[in-house]
Amino acid sequence: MLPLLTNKRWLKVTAFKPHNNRAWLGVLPVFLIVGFSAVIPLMTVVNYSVQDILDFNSRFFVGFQWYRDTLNDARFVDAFIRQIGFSATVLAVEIPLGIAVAKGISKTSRMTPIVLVLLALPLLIPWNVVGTIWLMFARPDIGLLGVLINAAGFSYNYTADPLHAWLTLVAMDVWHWTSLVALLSFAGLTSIPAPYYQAAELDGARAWQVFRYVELPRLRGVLVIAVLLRLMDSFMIYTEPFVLTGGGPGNSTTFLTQYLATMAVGQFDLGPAAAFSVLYFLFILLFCWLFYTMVMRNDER
Amino acid sequence: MLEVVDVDLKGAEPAGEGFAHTFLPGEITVVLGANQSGKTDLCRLIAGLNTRATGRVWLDRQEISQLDSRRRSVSMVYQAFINYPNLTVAQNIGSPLRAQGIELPAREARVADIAERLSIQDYLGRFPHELSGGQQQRVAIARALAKQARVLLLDEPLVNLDFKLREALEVELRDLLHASNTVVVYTSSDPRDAFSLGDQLLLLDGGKKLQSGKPIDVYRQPVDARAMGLLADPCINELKHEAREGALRPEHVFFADDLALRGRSCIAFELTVIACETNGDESFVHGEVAGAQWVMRCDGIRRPRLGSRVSVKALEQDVIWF
Repeated sequence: MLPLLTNKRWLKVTAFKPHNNRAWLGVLPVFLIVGFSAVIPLMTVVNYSVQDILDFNSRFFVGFQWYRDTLNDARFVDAFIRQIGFSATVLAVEIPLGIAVAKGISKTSRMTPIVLVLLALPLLIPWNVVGTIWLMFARPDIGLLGVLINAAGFSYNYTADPLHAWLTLVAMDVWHWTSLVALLSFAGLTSIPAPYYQAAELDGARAWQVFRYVELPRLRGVLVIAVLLRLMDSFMIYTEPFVLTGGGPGNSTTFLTQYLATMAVGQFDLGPAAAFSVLYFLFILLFCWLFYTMVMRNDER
Repeated sequence: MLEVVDVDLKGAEPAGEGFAHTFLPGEITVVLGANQSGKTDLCRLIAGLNTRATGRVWLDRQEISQLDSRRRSVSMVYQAFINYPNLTVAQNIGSPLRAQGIELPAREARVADIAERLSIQDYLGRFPHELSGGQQQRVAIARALAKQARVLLLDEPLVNLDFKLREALEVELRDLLHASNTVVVYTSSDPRDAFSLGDQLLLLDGGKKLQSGKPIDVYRQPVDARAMGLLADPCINELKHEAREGALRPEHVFFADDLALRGRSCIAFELTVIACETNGDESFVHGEVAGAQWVMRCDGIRRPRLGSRVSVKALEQDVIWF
């Protein structure tokens, strides 16, 4: 009796359900927008990357030639390694520092909103201005920071010493972006209900254990976002080092974007530059995917 | 024995005005009060957590008011299911033992023992978020028990569970808590908890102690209308009779033809029916008597016509006069 009954109900439901694909029409505008804004430009680059285009009438299909050239290019590999070094360094500094700053902000003080706005200030400055600020700030002859360091007895000149250039770049990025991590972490920390802290306190947990077992697990979500954002952004950094060091001294701070810009705009090697761009895009995608799946697999444990 | 002295739950009274209360080991004291009556503040005061309440706390004739909460022999279970999300159930239960520096084999034995008593022994390897709400709260209770503190505070621990689960856990808890020789403080806003769990009852109202004693005694002889109202479900019926003010519990109002009233001295009232609700087992009839809102609780399904006037009676002995 019962299966029959359910069967009938099923029939009734499907019989009155109109079957058409009109809903797809509603999605069409999105397809168009995404097509024009993302897919078509990307495909243009892909198109360039497999051809050698000399002028309007003469072009040759070269297959994966430009890709092979790019991957075998020592300068590409060097820039790539530098890029990874840079991203790893700023992540290693900004994430712990951001958490520490967030933990330092009082959750209840009347000053909290002011502190948060002050923290957000570096995020509001245009990137080329950030570069210019540090260009001035770190100059050993007239910059406050540069003069102070030299006055303290350390010989410091970021335009001449590769190590100094690196440290200045990392300091600039940390100054610019730690706030983002701090603000995200602060949001995560404020969402932890007080009883969780009290329970840990009654269990006899020390400050470090409270951080490790109460706060860190609940910061996980925002930290994943923070790492992803900073990973992508730092991997694509262009304006600030371009303004500050211009890739020098020598090639010591030439990152991928800058090398790419030199190739595409400076030398007008559109084919290799296009292949470079596609590889660049794939690498960023790969890193983010690797990080994300690692985190998620850990979650399923 | 846990004593609290000069307690001011709202932190607003001058010193010396507060109340005192003594909690005995091996007994469950149910602290009953409405929202904002200071139940949680009382728990926090005893535990030494951040609270607006002020007062002194003595445990086994030693003052612990100044002691850091980490060093008090107190554990607490909260309304929300609070466990460490990235520790397994076994590690969660063992966490206070680890903080006490107890070695692994001894720890494991104790964890297994407690888990079995709370029937969560099958979930020891799982993480809290993989458990149902009831199981999560079992883990939290197990963690509190593992500490083997001399005082166990349960701050409305079952309020977030559905009622069948609540009743089942309540019975288990009663046996579990009686088996230990700890001071158990159980806060609730449900008068049923007072009778099902409480050896002792402490009524709080607006941050002040209203009355304390055995639940049945408090039920029989409430000091005033508020104390009576706290133990009534859903509320008390206030009445004026021969220039005296009194109140009746919903379960003590009967229809005039009720057999229970036969041959006993009664007071009669006229009730205008406003609303009826029933759950099959019992019915609540809301109405108006001489300008006051009344509610009566009766067995079975009773649904007098809305707007009709019915004659109701109450035994004289059931009326509580103030």
